[in-house]
Amino acid sequence: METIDAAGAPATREQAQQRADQVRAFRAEFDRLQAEGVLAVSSEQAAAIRRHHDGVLEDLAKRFDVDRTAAERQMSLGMRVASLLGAIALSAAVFLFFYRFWGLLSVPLQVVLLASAPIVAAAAVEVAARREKTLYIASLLALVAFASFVLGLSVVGSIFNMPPSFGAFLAWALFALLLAYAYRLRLLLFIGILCAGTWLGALLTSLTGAWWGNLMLRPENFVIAGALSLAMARLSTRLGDREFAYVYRATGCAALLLPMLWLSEIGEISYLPIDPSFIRHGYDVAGFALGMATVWFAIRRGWTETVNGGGLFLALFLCLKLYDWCWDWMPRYLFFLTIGVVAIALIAVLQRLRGRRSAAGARRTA
Amino acid sequence: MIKRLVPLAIVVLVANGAALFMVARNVDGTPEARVQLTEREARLSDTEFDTTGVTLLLAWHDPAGPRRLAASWLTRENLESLGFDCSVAPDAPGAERHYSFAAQPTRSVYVVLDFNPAPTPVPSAGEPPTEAAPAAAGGEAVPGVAPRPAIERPSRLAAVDAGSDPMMLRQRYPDRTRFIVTHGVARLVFHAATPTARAFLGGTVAAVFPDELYVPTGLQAPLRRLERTKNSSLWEPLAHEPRYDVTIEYGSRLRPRVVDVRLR
Repeated sequence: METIDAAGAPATREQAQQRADQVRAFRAEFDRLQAEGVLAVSSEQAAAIRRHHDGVLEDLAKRFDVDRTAAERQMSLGMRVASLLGAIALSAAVFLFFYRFWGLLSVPLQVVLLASAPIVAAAAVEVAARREKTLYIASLLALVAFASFVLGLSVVGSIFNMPPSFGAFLAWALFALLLAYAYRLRLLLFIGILCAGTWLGALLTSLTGAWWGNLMLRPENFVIAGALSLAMARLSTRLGDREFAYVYRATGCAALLLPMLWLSEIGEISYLPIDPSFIRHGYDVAGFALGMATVWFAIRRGWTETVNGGGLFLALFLCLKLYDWCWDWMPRYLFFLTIGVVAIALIAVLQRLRGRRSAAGARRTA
Repeated sequence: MIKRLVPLAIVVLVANGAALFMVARNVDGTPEARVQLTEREARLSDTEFDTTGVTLLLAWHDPAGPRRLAASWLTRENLESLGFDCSVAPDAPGAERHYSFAAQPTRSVYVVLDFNPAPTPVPSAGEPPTEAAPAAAGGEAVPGVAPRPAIERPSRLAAVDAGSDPMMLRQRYPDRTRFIVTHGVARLVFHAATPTARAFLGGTVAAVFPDELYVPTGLQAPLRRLERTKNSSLWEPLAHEPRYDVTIEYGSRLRPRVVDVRLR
């Protein structure tokens, strides 16, 4: 999927917002350089640049409803929070409304209502998306549609006294992913990835004969899900879909790294048929290696959020391991001093890497 | 608009359709079991939600004891047939770790529930009631473990067997008006050695599914007027005589449905 059309104009709201932010940043720096006497531009040229940028911002606002000022940006953030809270409240209302009245309805009517609720909500998403470019209402309704589908399948299972099944997670994942791709909703994409990962984890757990509800006791299932998510991130990047690539990448890294925390503590929960203490040490090494590889790779690619996430994981992992190795025998003051020194060393390493990256960027520009 | 909505509608309809198809298969043919339970075994659910639905909680117990720490019928052979790895001797080094919940979590099984409406035998005057000592995995009595005193059971529905093949279980327990074969989850329990007893393996039925039964709208009326049970008191005997009988039918896919409710 192309996110920039043939003329170089942005094709998505994210791209448009980036362009608007670029213009604003340029204007601020332009005024500053002129004030400091570094840049000397004739008034006609300055006016032409200003007119051009006014036109760009006007066009972006009309097509994508972007934030043109810092104040508008803060209001957008508030609207996003309100949208999320509204979705949670509406979903709770749908849930509780149904439970209030379901005993008064016949079974066929219950089933019809439960099956039609998510479809009706999806139709409402479509209507909202056509009327409002920012998609705040549409994303709220999309969350309600998803919640309705979760409620629907769960209650159908309850009405007919069916044992809990992990197959529902696959249906929920498909629904969330379809909504996400249809309306470019990153939160629904994240929810879809979570549901798909849960389904995969439950499937793999059940294949071993264990009850699928024990999926959290086999964190290696999530390593597989994480690898698949990272593969999707790569595919999305190749197709030019950076917004969704970021979500796949962040979720994939979390699914790949977080299990290392468990497995380095409890070797018994691994699938590997070897001594659990050997497994724990192995995952100690794997945790550090994967964490550092994540940070290094993310720095090379310029994925700031992944660098931060990987750094946070490494810091947590290191603290946990220091606790395991040193807490029992090391004096407390020395233990916390060690953690402080490690934190400072981490900052120094990341600063050095950032400095190298800035220098490399400056050389490329020159 | 159609392009975006049609796939969503298909997912919803296929998912619900699949569920209804399984329901239809379940009720097709002769019932797998048809049991009449009392309020002791099927208790009115009390929930904090403002709900008009009526559900019954299946109150069952493990006959080995109120804490369900070990089922005397879940022997080592049973556990192995359910897929647990019991190759390490319980008193061997590393056995506790080998049999830990993390290493061997619960497994999906089929459970046999026995509804025996006969009351618990009353002991002779002056003597405390006793039960047989729990058997270790392998069937032999565990040395040093004293018999537990018998108690009044909160429910007369007991888990008495488990296996991987429901048809084999039904052959073993052919009375379809007394024995229910249903989905469940079994757990291996390792009992560490104590000063008076060796280490031994046991097992227990950790859950049966479903254990909450929806009462169809047409049968709810008699139950609506009754005061509901607090969920936490499922493991305690009823404070009164049972107020109703409920007939539950298990279909060919072992899914239950309430088919009759009668007030006493």
